Amino acid sequence: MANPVEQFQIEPIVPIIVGPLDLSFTNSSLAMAFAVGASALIFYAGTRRLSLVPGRMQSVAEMMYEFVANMVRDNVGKEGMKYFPFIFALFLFVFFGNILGMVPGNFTFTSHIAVTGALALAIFIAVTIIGFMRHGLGYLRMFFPRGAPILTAPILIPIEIISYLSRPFSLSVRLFANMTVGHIMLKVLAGFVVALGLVGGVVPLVAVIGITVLEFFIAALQAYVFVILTCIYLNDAIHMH
Amino acid sequence: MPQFDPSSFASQIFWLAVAFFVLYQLVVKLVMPGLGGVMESRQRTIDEDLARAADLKARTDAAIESYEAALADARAKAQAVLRETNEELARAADARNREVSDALARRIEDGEARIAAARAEALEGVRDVAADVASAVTGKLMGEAVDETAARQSVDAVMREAR
Repeated sequence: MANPVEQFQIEPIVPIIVGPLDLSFTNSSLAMAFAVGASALIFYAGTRRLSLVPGRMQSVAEMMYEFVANMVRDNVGKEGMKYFPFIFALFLFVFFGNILGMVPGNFTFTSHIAVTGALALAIFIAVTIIGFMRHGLGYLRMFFPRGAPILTAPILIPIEIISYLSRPFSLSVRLFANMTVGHIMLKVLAGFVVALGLVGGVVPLVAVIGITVLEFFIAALQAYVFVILTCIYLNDAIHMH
Repeated sequence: MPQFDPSSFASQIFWLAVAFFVLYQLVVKLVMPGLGGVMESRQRTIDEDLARAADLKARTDAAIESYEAALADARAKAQAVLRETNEELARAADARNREVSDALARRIEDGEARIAAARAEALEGVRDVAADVASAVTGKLMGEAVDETAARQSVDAVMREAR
């Protein structure tokens, strides 16, 4: 049986070494290019013949646009629309990363903690900067809820700080773990189908089919969760809580 | 697991930055002006159409209102004319009725007077005849002429009794 974590192996396609850094173009980079390419394709086709009454491709493009736009409007409000291009790009990147990762043989770059961690850390830093830019030092009040008794400060403030600092970890680990576990599970069950042969393999085959459907669902759901959490953090930074 | 192998981190993060930058540029340059623009203009068109529809509806309502006011006015006027005409007709009919009934009453009075005269005349005649008959019959029975005046008096007395 093939090693279930082998699928996560990063293989250089075009080796690029810059000084001490290995910046090779890898299968992960290729998958990212596919995700960007898929987004470009949809929006190129969707905006080629723009009309007031949308055609088929324009409808698809508009649906995705509206979906994210509504998410930003509902969770962050009107001021949040300033950050809409970033949020939308984030959604497209994670969504196509997850979905195209379901194509057999294609690499799932969202299953790597380096990618999700870098994204989450960038979001965390950006949101913190936005918070301090809008509220100055008043942003520190985030760590002490308004109206709480002053006596509870020694307990509440450390808890709030820890919960704030743990945001990038929960954000990145959630996506990375979901993608990794899903793909490992599919690989292991698919391995059982081969190992158990024509008769015994039917049971894991049915399970693989079911889990494949589930994984598609999770791929979309985790992209949604990743983006909506970003919206919630952004809302905290803009409006405080 | 390959995920925890730091040797690939630099490449992953570098290409992540490149890919995300390209995607972000795509959204800003292609999606926002194109799709965002067309959706905005669609919203504007819809809003304008709705405003126009509301305006037309308000005008329709106003027209309906003025039409109904005119209708109610006309109806009230018609009723007033109807009532006036009715009253006039009733007055005229009353006057004619009174006139006719007066004339009838006068003719009835005249008739009654004529009847009374005729009756008096007739009674006078009857008395003369009765007196003549009475004197003639008495003369035949008694064989002598009866005094005309006495006969007349007794006839008068009988007729008064009979009346």
